[in-house]
Amino acid sequence: MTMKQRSEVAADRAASYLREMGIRPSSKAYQYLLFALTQLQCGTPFQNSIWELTAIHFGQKRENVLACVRREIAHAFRMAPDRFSNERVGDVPARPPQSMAFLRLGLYMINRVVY
Amino acid sequence: MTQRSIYQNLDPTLNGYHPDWYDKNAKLISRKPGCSVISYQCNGTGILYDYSIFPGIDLIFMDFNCSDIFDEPNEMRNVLEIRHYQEGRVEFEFEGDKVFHLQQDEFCVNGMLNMPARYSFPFDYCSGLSLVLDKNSMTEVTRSQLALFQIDISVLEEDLDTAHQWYICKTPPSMCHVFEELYAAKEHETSQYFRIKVLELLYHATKLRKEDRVAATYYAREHIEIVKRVRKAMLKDLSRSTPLEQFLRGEAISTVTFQTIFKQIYGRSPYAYLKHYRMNSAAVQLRESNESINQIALSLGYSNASKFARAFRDVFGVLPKDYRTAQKAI
Repeated sequence: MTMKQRSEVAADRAASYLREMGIRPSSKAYQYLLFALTQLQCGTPFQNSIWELTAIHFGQKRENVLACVRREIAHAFRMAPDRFSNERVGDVPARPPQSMAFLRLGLYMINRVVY
Repeated sequence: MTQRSIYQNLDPTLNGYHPDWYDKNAKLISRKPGCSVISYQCNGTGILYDYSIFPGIDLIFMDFNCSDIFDEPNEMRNVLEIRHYQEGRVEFEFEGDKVFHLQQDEFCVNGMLNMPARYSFPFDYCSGLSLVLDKNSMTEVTRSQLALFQIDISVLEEDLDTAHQWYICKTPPSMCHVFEELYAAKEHETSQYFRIKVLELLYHATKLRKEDRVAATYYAREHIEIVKRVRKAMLKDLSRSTPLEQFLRGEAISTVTFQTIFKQIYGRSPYAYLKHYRMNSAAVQLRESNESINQIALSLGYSNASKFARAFRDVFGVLPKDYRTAQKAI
């Protein structure tokens, strides 16, 4: 598989996951999260600076990117909190996950489930 | 809500065209946001794609198909440059008639000192890229963006000691894939994409170790000229097998030095080079003429067709008759 194909597969997987979690494809946050999740799957060396990288890619400020992502995650959570339940404990969390936690969970789910 | 890019109106020079960076015969042929295409007036083609990545950082793809010698603009610029060649090799000529070659899959980091005076392409073709960091044009925004990823250009320069010599090494695997992605994206992707890849490249560059440096081998210009002259003579008549010593008679170079420099420039020993050259000529004749294989073998200095067939198979992996059949089918 070429680099380009690998990155396309990673983007497809990320897109499926985001839609499943209720992130609206029409939102700006969807683009940010899609980029971040694709980069993480492709092994970017900037795992700890993923929001900075996303901000640079889109020519935005990191705070704007994060605020946008937080709003969309909160929206998705309000619409269907069950999606965010901890599958091991079975509890529905009281509040939406933080942006980084959402990414980590995404990466875990993508790697576990073959879309 | 539409958010404006933080790069908008950041720097009016962020347009990827710096006339003082290129050869005096360079001409701007097109300019799109973030990318300029520059053509070199030469005996062939020479095209540069200059992408502006950040203020003060440009990524330049080069595609040359020519035998010209180009002057490097001699104005001292406060730059750091990372060069990599995907195909072909480059001959750099420095002041004091010292010459050295950068080969395919090698890459180098060089500072403003030791800039070559001229450069050319021994294979008459070359494609590669150059990441130019112009420290005088870098803004605080650029520096702070790099700092977010622990990239400090001054530290990089210091670590690799580029102020005194070129840092040359075999491209490490971590950087190979970044270069591969960059070449694949040329002309297809935007500056946005290249921005991320350039950050990755610089990040990996900060991980380079001094110990992995390859010592550059310099040769005297007069020796290089002898080698090129002898090569031309060797290729003049392929139907005869003349011993190398005969070509070197009267030349001020020893056989060992000749062979070493020949390999440095052309990547193969004189014998192997000649064999490949003959086989490439054979392939062209097999494709484009109706001459018999026997005739082709004779024209290339082979006394019989089976010896020629063996040599051809060594290079192309198939027998000449199978090659011709396959090519005709295409």
